[in-house]
Amino acid sequence: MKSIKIIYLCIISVVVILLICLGISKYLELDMPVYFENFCEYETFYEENPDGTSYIQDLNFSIQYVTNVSDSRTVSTIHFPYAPEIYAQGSNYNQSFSFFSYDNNQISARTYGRYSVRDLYINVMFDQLFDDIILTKAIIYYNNGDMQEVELGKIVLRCHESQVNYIVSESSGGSNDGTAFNTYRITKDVELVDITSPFKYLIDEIFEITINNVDYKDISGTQLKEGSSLRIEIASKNALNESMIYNIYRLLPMINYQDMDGNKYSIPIYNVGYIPIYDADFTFSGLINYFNSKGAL
Amino acid sequence: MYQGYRRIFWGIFFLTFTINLGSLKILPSFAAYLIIHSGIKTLQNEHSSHLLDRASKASVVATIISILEIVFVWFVDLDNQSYLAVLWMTIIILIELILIYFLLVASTDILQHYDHKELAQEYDKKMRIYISSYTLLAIVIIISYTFSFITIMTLASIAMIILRIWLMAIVNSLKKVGAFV
Repeated sequence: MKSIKIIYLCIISVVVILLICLGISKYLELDMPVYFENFCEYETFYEENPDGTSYIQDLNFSIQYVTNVSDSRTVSTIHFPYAPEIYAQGSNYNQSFSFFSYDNNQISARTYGRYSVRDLYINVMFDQLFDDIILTKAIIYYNNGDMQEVELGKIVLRCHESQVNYIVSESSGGSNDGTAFNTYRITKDVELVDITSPFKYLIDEIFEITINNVDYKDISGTQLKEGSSLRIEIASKNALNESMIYNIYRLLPMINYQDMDGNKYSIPIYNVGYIPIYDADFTFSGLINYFNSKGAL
Repeated sequence: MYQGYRRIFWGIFFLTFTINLGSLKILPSFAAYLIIHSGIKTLQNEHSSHLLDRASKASVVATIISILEIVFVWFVDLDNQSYLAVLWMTIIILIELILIYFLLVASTDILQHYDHKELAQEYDKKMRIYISSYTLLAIVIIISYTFSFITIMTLASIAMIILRIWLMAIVNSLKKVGAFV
Protein backbone atom coordinates (compact mmCIF):
# COMPACT_ATOMS: atom_id res chain seq x y z
CA MET A 1 0.00 0.00 0.00
CA LYS A 2 1.51 3.28 -1.18
CA SER A 3 -0.27 5.48 1.37
CA ILE A 4 1.50 3.73 4.26
CA LYS A 5 4.67 5.59 3.18
CA ILE A 6 3.03 8.96 3.82
CA ILE A 7 2.21 8.11 7.45
CA TYR A 8 5.72 6.77 8.08
CA LEU A 9 7.16 9.95 6.58
CA CYS A 10 4.85 12.12 8.71
CA ILE A 11 5.63 10.25 11.95
CA ILE A 12 9.38 10.36 11.27
CA SER A 13 9.20 14.12 10.50
CA VAL A 14 7.37 14.84 13.77
CA VAL A 15 9.74 12.68 15.81
CA VAL A 16 12.84 14.27 14.21
CA ILE A 17 11.50 17.78 14.91
CA LEU A 18 10.72 16.72 18.50
CA LEU A 19 14.28 15.45 18.98
CA ILE A 20 15.77 18.62 17.45
CA CYS A 21 13.60 20.81 19.72
CA LEU A 22 14.54 18.80 22.82
CA GLY A 23 18.23 18.85 21.80
CA ILE A 24 18.29 22.64 21.33
CA SER A 25 16.35 23.10 24.60
CA LYS A 26 18.88 20.93 26.43
CA TYR A 27 21.75 22.95 24.95
CA LEU A 28 20.14 26.23 26.02
CA GLU A 29 19.38 25.01 29.54
CA LEU A 30 20.91 27.00 32.39
CA ASP A 31 22.59 25.08 35.20
CA MET A 32 21.56 27.71 37.73
CA PRO A 33 19.48 30.90 37.54
CA VAL A 34 21.41 33.92 36.24
CA TYR A 35 20.96 37.15 38.18
CA PHE A 36 21.21 40.44 36.33
CA GLU A 37 23.53 42.98 37.88
CA ASN A 38 22.16 45.97 39.73
CA PHE A 39 23.71 49.41 39.97
CA CYS A 40 21.19 51.00 42.25
CA GLU A 41 20.72 53.34 45.15
CA TYR A 42 17.69 53.09 47.41
CA GLU A 43 16.93 55.55 50.16
CA THR A 44 14.84 55.55 53.26
CA PHE A 45 14.20 58.24 55.84
CA TYR A 46 14.86 58.43 59.54
CA GLU A 47 12.29 60.37 61.47
CA GLU A 48 12.21 61.31 65.11
CA ASN A 49 8.82 61.81 66.68
CA PRO A 50 8.22 64.54 69.27
CA ASP A 51 7.82 61.85 71.96
CA GLY A 52 11.43 60.75 71.37
CA THR A 53 10.64 57.59 69.42
CA SER A 54 12.17 57.14 66.00
CA TYR A 55 11.06 55.42 62.85
CA ILE A 56 12.75 54.17 59.68
CA GLN A 57 10.63 53.06 56.79
CA ASP A 58 11.38 49.59 55.33
CA LEU A 59 13.17 49.54 51.98
CA ASN A 60 11.47 47.62 49.21
CA PHE A 61 13.13 46.94 45.90
CA SER A 62 13.33 44.18 43.35
CA ILE A 63 16.05 42.47 41.39
CA GLN A 64 15.64 40.32 38.29
CA TYR A 65 16.92 36.92 37.34
CA VAL A 66 16.41 34.49 34.53
CA THR A 67 15.94 30.77 34.84
CA ASN A 68 14.72 27.86 32.74
CA VAL A 69 11.07 28.15 31.80
CA SER A 70 10.23 24.87 33.54
CA ASP A 71 11.99 25.83 36.78
CA SER A 72 9.31 25.57 39.45
CA ARG A 73 11.54 26.69 42.33
CA THR A 74 10.77 29.90 44.12
CA VAL A 75 13.02 31.96 46.37
CA SER A 76 12.31 31.40 50.04
CA THR A 77 15.03 33.47 51.76
CA ILE A 78 17.79 35.91 50.93
CA HIS A 79 20.85 36.68 52.98
CA PHE A 80 23.51 39.33 52.41
CA PRO A 81 26.85 37.92 53.69
CA TYR A 82 28.64 41.30 53.64
CA ALA A 83 25.85 43.09 55.50
CA PRO A 84 24.93 40.69 58.28
CA GLU A 85 23.45 43.51 60.36
CA ILE A 86 20.40 43.93 58.15
CA TYR A 87 17.33 41.72 58.19
CA ALA A 88 15.96 41.06 54.71
CA GLN A 89 13.17 39.00 53.23
CA GLY A 90 13.13 37.82 49.61
CA SER A 91 10.21 36.42 47.67
CA ASN A 92 8.99 35.91 44.10
CA TYR A 93 5.55 37.00 45.25
CA ASN A 94 4.80 40.68 45.15
CA GLN A 95 3.14 41.47 48.44
CA SER A 96 2.31 45.01 47.49
CA PHE A 97 -1.31 46.03 47.55
CA SER A 98 -2.89 47.96 44.75
CA PHE A 99 -6.35 49.45 44.65
CA PHE A 100 -7.44 47.18 41.83
CA SER A 101 -5.92 43.88 42.79
CA TYR A 102 -4.23 41.97 45.53
CA ASP A 103 -2.69 38.88 44.04
CA ASN A 104 0.14 37.28 45.92
CA ASN A 105 -0.34 33.74 44.59
CA GLN A 106 1.22 34.32 41.15
CA ILE A 107 4.94 34.71 40.89
CA SER A 108 6.04 37.61 38.74
CA ALA A 109 7.49 35.91 35.64
CA ARG A 110 7.65 36.56 31.91
CA THR A 111 8.52 33.87 29.38
CA TYR A 112 10.97 34.36 26.50
CA GLY A 113 11.59 31.14 24.57
CA ARG A 114 13.06 28.59 26.98
CA TYR A 115 13.70 31.22 29.65
CA SER A 116 11.64 32.86 32.33
CA VAL A 117 12.57 36.32 33.61
CA ARG A 118 11.46 36.63 37.22
CA ASP A 119 11.31 39.38 39.78
CA LEU A 120 12.66 38.86 43.26
CA TYR A 121 11.12 41.29 45.72
CA ILE A 122 13.32 42.25 48.63
CA ASN A 123 12.18 43.88 51.81
CA VAL A 124 14.86 45.24 54.16
CA MET A 125 14.06 46.32 57.71
CA PHE A 126 16.09 48.64 59.89
CA ASP A 127 15.82 49.64 63.50
CA GLN A 128 18.36 52.45 63.66
CA LEU A 129 19.97 55.18 61.58
CA PHE A 130 22.74 53.70 59.44
CA ASP A 131 25.61 54.77 57.21
CA ASP A 132 25.45 53.70 53.57
CA ILE A 133 25.21 49.93 53.22
CA ILE A 134 26.68 48.42 50.06
CA LEU A 135 25.33 45.07 48.89
CA THR A 136 27.46 43.23 46.33
CA LYS A 137 26.71 39.58 47.02
CA ALA A 138 23.67 37.63 48.15
CA ILE A 139 22.99 34.07 49.13
CA ILE A 140 19.68 32.91 47.73
CA TYR A 141 17.81 29.98 49.25
CA TYR A 142 15.17 28.25 47.12
CA ASN A 143 12.11 26.42 48.36
CA ASN A 144 13.52 23.02 47.30
CA GLY A 145 16.57 23.48 49.54
CA ASP A 146 18.96 24.69 46.80
CA MET A 147 21.32 27.54 47.65
CA GLN A 148 23.07 29.93 45.28
CA GLU A 149 25.65 32.64 45.85
CA VAL A 150 25.07 35.49 43.40
CA GLU A 151 26.87 38.65 42.39
CA LEU A 152 24.42 41.54 42.70
CA GLY A 153 26.48 44.29 41.15
CA LYS A 154 26.39 47.18 43.61
CA ILE A 155 23.31 48.17 45.56
CA VAL A 156 23.66 51.11 47.92
CA LEU A 157 21.13 51.48 50.74
CA ARG A 158 21.03 54.95 52.21
CA CYS A 159 19.26 56.51 55.13
CA HIS A 160 18.56 60.25 55.36
CA GLU A 161 17.53 62.24 58.34
CA SER A 162 14.55 64.37 57.36
CA GLN A 163 15.80 67.90 56.76
CA VAL A 164 14.55 71.22 55.51
CA ASN A 165 15.15 71.76 51.81
CA TYR A 166 15.16 74.97 49.81
CA ILE A 167 15.12 73.22 46.45
CA VAL A 168 11.61 71.80 46.31
CA SER A 169 10.56 69.25 43.73
CA GLU A 170 7.78 70.53 41.47
CA SER A 171 7.34 68.07 38.66
CA SER A 172 9.05 65.23 36.88
CA GLY A 173 8.53 63.06 33.85
CA GLY A 174 10.10 60.52 31.58
CA SER A 175 9.80 59.13 28.11
CA ASN A 176 10.53 55.75 26.59
CA ASP A 177 13.18 57.37 24.38
CA GLY A 178 15.41 57.42 27.47
CA THR A 179 14.93 61.06 28.41
CA ALA A 180 13.59 62.37 31.71
CA PHE A 181 13.35 65.65 33.55
CA ASN A 182 12.82 67.05 37.05
CA THR A 183 11.86 70.61 37.86
CA TYR A 184 12.36 72.31 41.21
CA ARG A 185 11.35 75.60 42.79
CA ILE A 186 13.93 77.57 44.75
CA THR A 187 12.54 78.89 48.05
CA LYS A 188 15.69 80.64 49.34
CA ASP A 189 18.83 82.05 47.75
CA VAL A 190 21.26 79.13 47.45
CA GLU A 191 24.50 78.18 45.71
CA LEU A 192 25.10 74.78 44.12
CA VAL A 193 28.25 73.07 45.37
CA ASP A 194 28.59 69.81 43.48
CA ILE A 195 26.99 66.51 42.61
CA THR A 196 28.13 63.34 44.32
CA SER A 197 27.37 59.72 43.56
CA PRO A 198 29.03 56.36 44.23
CA PHE A 199 28.29 55.62 40.55
CA LYS A 200 29.83 58.72 38.98
CA TYR A 201 31.79 56.56 36.49
CA LEU A 202 28.50 55.01 35.32
CA ILE A 203 26.71 58.33 35.05
CA ASP A 204 29.47 59.60 32.75
CA GLU A 205 29.34 56.40 30.69
CA ILE A 206 25.58 55.97 30.33
CA PHE A 207 23.80 59.27 30.96
CA GLU A 208 23.96 62.94 30.08
CA ILE A 209 22.73 65.18 32.87
CA THR A 210 22.25 68.91 32.41
CA ILE A 211 21.18 71.36 35.09
CA ASN A 212 19.59 74.50 33.65
CA ASN A 213 21.26 73.52 30.36
CA VAL A 214 24.73 73.26 31.98
CA ASP A 215 26.61 69.96 32.21
CA TYR A 216 26.26 68.61 35.76
CA LYS A 217 30.06 68.61 36.27
CA ASP A 218 30.21 72.40 35.74
CA ILE A 219 27.54 73.55 38.19
CA SER A 220 29.79 74.41 41.11
CA GLY A 221 29.16 78.00 42.22
CA THR A 222 25.87 78.43 40.35
CA GLN A 223 23.74 80.93 42.26
CA LEU A 224 19.99 80.32 42.39
CA LYS A 225 17.70 83.14 43.51
CA GLU A 226 14.58 82.63 45.60
CA GLY A 227 11.55 82.16 43.32
CA SER A 228 13.61 80.93 40.38
CA SER A 229 13.36 77.41 39.03
CA LEU A 230 15.78 74.60 38.35
CA ARG A 231 15.37 72.12 35.53
CA ILE A 232 17.40 68.92 35.38
CA GLU A 233 17.35 66.94 32.16
CA ILE A 234 18.56 63.37 31.89
CA ALA A 235 19.24 61.63 28.60
CA SER A 236 20.51 58.13 27.93
CA LYS A 237 23.61 57.86 25.76
CA ASN A 238 22.46 54.43 24.47
CA ALA A 239 25.84 53.15 25.54
CA LEU A 240 24.68 49.81 26.97
CA ASN A 241 26.46 46.92 25.34
CA GLU A 242 25.29 43.28 25.16
CA SER A 243 26.57 42.40 28.63
CA MET A 244 24.96 45.51 30.23
CA ILE A 245 21.58 45.58 28.51
CA TYR A 246 19.68 43.60 31.17
CA ASN A 247 21.28 45.25 34.21
CA ILE A 248 19.19 47.51 36.38
CA TYR A 249 20.44 51.08 36.74
CA ARG A 250 18.67 53.23 39.31
CA LEU A 251 20.95 56.01 40.41
CA LEU A 252 20.31 58.77 42.89
CA PRO A 253 23.08 61.35 42.46
CA MET A 254 22.90 64.00 45.17
CA ILE A 255 22.91 67.74 44.45
CA ASN A 256 24.82 69.36 47.27
CA TYR A 257 24.13 73.06 47.88
CA GLN A 258 24.47 75.68 50.56
CA ASP A 259 22.60 78.78 51.63
CA MET A 260 24.28 82.15 51.95
CA ASP A 261 25.14 81.37 55.59
CA GLY A 262 27.12 78.30 54.54
CA ASN A 263 24.60 75.72 55.80
CA LYS A 264 24.84 72.62 53.64
CA TYR A 265 21.90 70.67 52.19
CA SER A 266 21.39 67.98 49.60
CA ILE A 267 18.61 66.55 47.45
CA PRO A 268 18.59 63.50 45.20
CA ILE A 269 18.10 63.67 41.43
CA TYR A 270 15.41 61.16 40.50
CA ASN A 271 14.80 59.45 37.16
CA VAL A 272 18.44 58.66 36.48
CA GLY A 273 18.11 55.06 35.49
CA TYR A 274 17.32 52.27 33.12
CA ILE A 275 15.23 49.29 34.15
CA PRO A 276 14.55 46.61 31.53
CA ILE A 277 10.99 45.44 32.07
CA TYR A 278 8.99 45.22 28.92
CA ASP A 279 8.92 42.78 26.03
CA ALA A 280 10.75 45.39 23.94
CA ASP A 281 13.72 45.02 26.31
CA PHE A 282 13.78 41.22 26.55
CA THR A 283 13.93 38.77 23.66
CA PHE A 284 14.81 35.08 23.49
CA SER A 285 17.75 35.73 21.15
CA GLY A 286 18.85 38.71 23.26
CA LEU A 287 18.99 36.50 26.36
CA ILE A 288 21.00 33.84 24.49
CA ASN A 289 23.50 36.53 23.38
CA TYR A 290 23.67 37.83 26.96
CA PHE A 291 24.41 34.34 28.35
CA ASN A 292 27.05 33.80 25.68
CA SER A 293 28.72 37.10 26.58
CA LYS A 294 28.69 36.05 30.24
CA GLY A 295 29.77 32.46 29.52
CA ALA A 296 26.63 31.10 31.18
CA LEU A 297 25.82 28.67 28.34
CA MET B 1 -22.26 2.79 8.27
CA TYR B 2 -24.27 5.99 8.59
CA GLN B 3 -24.45 5.43 12.35
CA GLY B 4 -20.71 4.73 12.64
CA TYR B 5 -19.64 7.89 10.80
CA ARG B 6 -22.23 9.92 12.71
CA ARG B 7 -20.57 8.91 15.99
CA ILE B 8 -17.09 9.58 14.61
CA PHE B 9 -18.27 13.01 13.47
CA TRP B 10 -19.51 13.89 16.98
CA GLY B 11 -16.35 12.44 18.53
CA ILE B 12 -14.19 14.76 16.39
CA PHE B 13 -16.58 17.64 17.15
CA PHE B 14 -16.18 17.21 20.92
CA LEU B 15 -12.43 16.71 20.52
CA THR B 16 -12.24 20.08 18.73
CA PHE B 17 -14.76 22.11 20.71
CA THR B 18 -14.61 21.35 24.42
CA ILE B 19 -17.45 22.71 26.49
CA ASN B 20 -16.48 23.98 29.90
CA LEU B 21 -18.73 24.81 32.82
CA GLY B 22 -16.38 26.84 34.98
CA SER B 23 -13.41 24.58 35.63
CA LEU B 24 -15.45 21.46 34.82
CA LYS B 25 -15.00 19.98 31.33
CA ILE B 26 -18.33 18.60 30.12
CA LEU B 27 -16.73 16.23 27.61
CA PRO B 28 -13.03 15.59 28.24
CA SER B 29 -10.83 14.27 25.41
CA PHE B 30 -11.07 10.65 26.51
CA ALA B 31 -14.89 10.77 26.18
CA ALA B 32 -14.52 12.18 22.66
CA TYR B 33 -12.10 9.35 21.79
CA LEU B 34 -14.54 6.83 23.28
CA ILE B 35 -17.29 8.17 20.98
CA ILE B 36 -14.89 7.84 18.00
CA HIS B 37 -14.03 4.30 19.17
CA SER B 38 -17.70 3.38 19.36
CA GLY B 39 -18.19 4.75 15.82
CA ILE B 40 -15.29 2.64 14.53
CA LYS B 41 -16.74 -0.42 16.31
CA THR B 42 -20.05 0.17 14.51
CA LEU B 43 -18.20 0.35 11.18
CA GLN B 44 -16.36 -2.90 12.08
CA ASN B 45 -19.69 -4.65 12.68
CA GLU B 46 -20.74 -3.84 9.14
CA HIS B 47 -17.41 -4.20 7.37
CA SER B 48 -14.50 -6.30 8.47
CA SER B 49 -11.15 -4.65 7.74
CA HIS B 50 -7.68 -4.86 9.26
CA LEU B 51 -7.39 -1.07 8.73
CA LEU B 52 -10.48 -0.54 10.88
CA ASP B 53 -8.92 -2.88 13.47
CA ARG B 54 -5.87 -0.60 13.56
CA ALA B 55 -8.03 2.54 13.77
CA SER B 56 -9.91 0.89 16.64
CA LYS B 57 -6.65 0.07 18.45
CA ALA B 58 -5.40 3.65 17.88
CA SER B 59 -8.63 5.03 19.39
CA VAL B 60 -8.18 2.79 22.46
CA VAL B 61 -4.58 4.02 22.89
CA ALA B 62 -5.78 7.63 22.44
CA THR B 63 -8.47 7.07 25.12
CA ILE B 64 -5.94 5.58 27.57
CA ILE B 65 -3.46 8.43 26.97
CA SER B 66 -6.22 11.00 27.52
CA ILE B 67 -7.18 9.34 30.82
CA LEU B 68 -3.50 9.19 31.83
CA GLU B 69 -3.22 12.92 31.07
CA ILE B 70 -6.00 13.66 33.56
CA VAL B 71 -4.19 11.58 36.21
CA PHE B 72 -0.80 13.09 35.25
CA VAL B 73 -1.79 16.71 35.79
CA TRP B 74 -2.42 15.92 39.45
CA PHE B 75 1.28 15.14 39.86
CA VAL B 76 3.12 16.94 37.05
CA ASP B 77 2.64 20.43 35.69
CA LEU B 78 2.19 19.71 31.97
CA ASP B 79 1.73 23.36 31.16
CA ASN B 80 5.24 24.66 31.81
CA GLN B 81 7.06 23.72 28.59
CA SER B 82 9.12 21.07 30.39
CA TYR B 83 10.63 18.25 28.31
CA LEU B 84 7.85 15.98 29.58
CA ALA B 85 5.18 18.50 28.52
CA VAL B 86 6.68 18.77 24.99
CA LEU B 87 7.00 14.98 24.75
CA TRP B 88 3.47 14.42 26.02
CA MET B 89 2.00 16.91 23.54
CA THR B 90 3.86 15.17 20.69
CA ILE B 91 2.55 11.75 21.76
CA ILE B 92 -1.03 13.07 21.70
CA ILE B 93 -0.45 14.67 18.26
CA LEU B 94 1.05 11.44 16.88
CA ILE B 95 -1.67 9.15 18.19
CA GLU B 96 -4.34 11.40 16.71
CA LEU B 97 -2.43 11.46 13.40
CA ILE B 98 -2.29 7.64 13.33
CA LEU B 99 -5.96 7.30 14.33
CA ILE B 100 -7.23 9.67 11.64
CA TYR B 101 -4.91 8.12 9.04
CA PHE B 102 -6.23 4.58 9.61
CA LEU B 103 -9.81 5.85 9.77
CA LEU B 104 -9.55 7.63 6.41
CA VAL B 105 -7.56 4.84 4.76
CA ALA B 106 -10.12 2.29 6.02
CA SER B 107 -12.93 4.46 4.61
CA THR B 108 -11.19 4.52 1.22
CA ASP B 109 -10.83 0.74 1.48
CA ILE B 110 -14.55 0.36 2.23
CA LEU B 111 -15.46 2.50 -0.79
CA GLN B 112 -13.21 0.40 -3.01
CA HIS B 113 -14.75 -2.77 -1.60
CA TYR B 114 -18.18 -1.53 -2.67
CA ASP B 115 -16.77 -0.64 -6.10
CA HIS B 116 -16.87 3.16 -5.68
CA LYS B 117 -13.42 3.52 -7.22
CA GLU B 118 -13.71 7.20 -8.15
CA LEU B 119 -14.96 8.12 -4.69
CA ALA B 120 -12.18 6.02 -3.15
CA GLN B 121 -9.61 7.96 -5.17
CA GLU B 122 -11.15 11.24 -4.14
CA TYR B 123 -11.05 10.34 -0.43
CA ASP B 124 -7.53 8.96 -0.78
CA LYS B 125 -6.47 12.36 -2.11
CA LYS B 126 -8.26 14.13 0.75
CA MET B 127 -6.56 11.80 3.25
CA ARG B 128 -3.13 12.69 1.85
CA ILE B 129 -3.85 16.42 1.98
CA TYR B 130 -5.22 16.13 5.52
CA ILE B 131 -2.33 14.03 6.86
CA SER B 132 0.31 16.26 5.23
CA SER B 133 -1.33 19.49 6.45
CA TYR B 134 -1.80 18.04 9.94
CA THR B 135 1.88 17.03 10.09
CA LEU B 136 3.02 20.45 8.93
CA LEU B 137 0.87 22.20 11.55
CA ALA B 138 1.95 19.69 14.22
CA ILE B 139 5.60 20.54 13.50
CA VAL B 140 4.87 24.28 13.73
CA ILE B 141 2.96 23.75 17.01
CA ILE B 142 5.75 21.64 18.56
CA ILE B 143 8.43 24.21 17.67
CA SER B 144 6.35 27.23 18.73
CA TYR B 145 5.27 25.57 22.00
CA THR B 146 8.84 24.53 22.88
CA PHE B 147 10.24 28.00 22.25
CA SER B 148 7.19 30.09 23.31
CA PHE B 149 6.48 31.65 19.93
CA ILE B 150 3.03 32.65 21.13
CA THR B 151 1.77 34.37 17.97
CA ILE B 152 2.84 31.52 15.69
CA MET B 153 1.38 29.02 18.18
CA THR B 154 -1.96 30.84 18.16
CA LEU B 155 -2.07 31.02 14.36
CA ALA B 156 -1.14 27.34 14.02
CA SER B 157 -3.80 26.38 16.58
CA ILE B 158 -6.44 28.33 14.63
CA ALA B 159 -5.29 26.60 11.43
CA MET B 160 -5.53 23.25 13.25
CA ILE B 161 -9.14 24.00 14.22
CA ILE B 162 -9.94 24.86 10.58
CA LEU B 163 -8.30 21.59 9.52
CA ARG B 164 -10.40 19.67 12.07
CA ILE B 165 -13.55 21.35 10.71
CA TRP B 166 -12.54 20.16 7.24
CA LEU B 167 -12.06 16.65 8.71
CA MET B 168 -15.58 16.85 10.17
CA ALA B 169 -16.85 17.83 6.71
CA ILE B 170 -15.03 14.79 5.21
CA VAL B 171 -16.52 12.45 7.83
CA ASN B 172 -19.93 14.04 7.33
CA SER B 173 -19.74 13.40 3.58
CA LEU B 174 -18.61 9.81 4.29
CA LYS B 175 -21.70 9.47 6.50
CA LYS B 176 -23.90 10.42 3.54
CA VAL B 177 -22.01 8.13 1.14
CA GLY B 178 -22.16 5.35 3.75
CA ALA B 179 -25.94 5.55 3.81
CA PHE B 180 -26.03 4.36 0.20
CA VAL B 181 -23.42 1.56 0.23
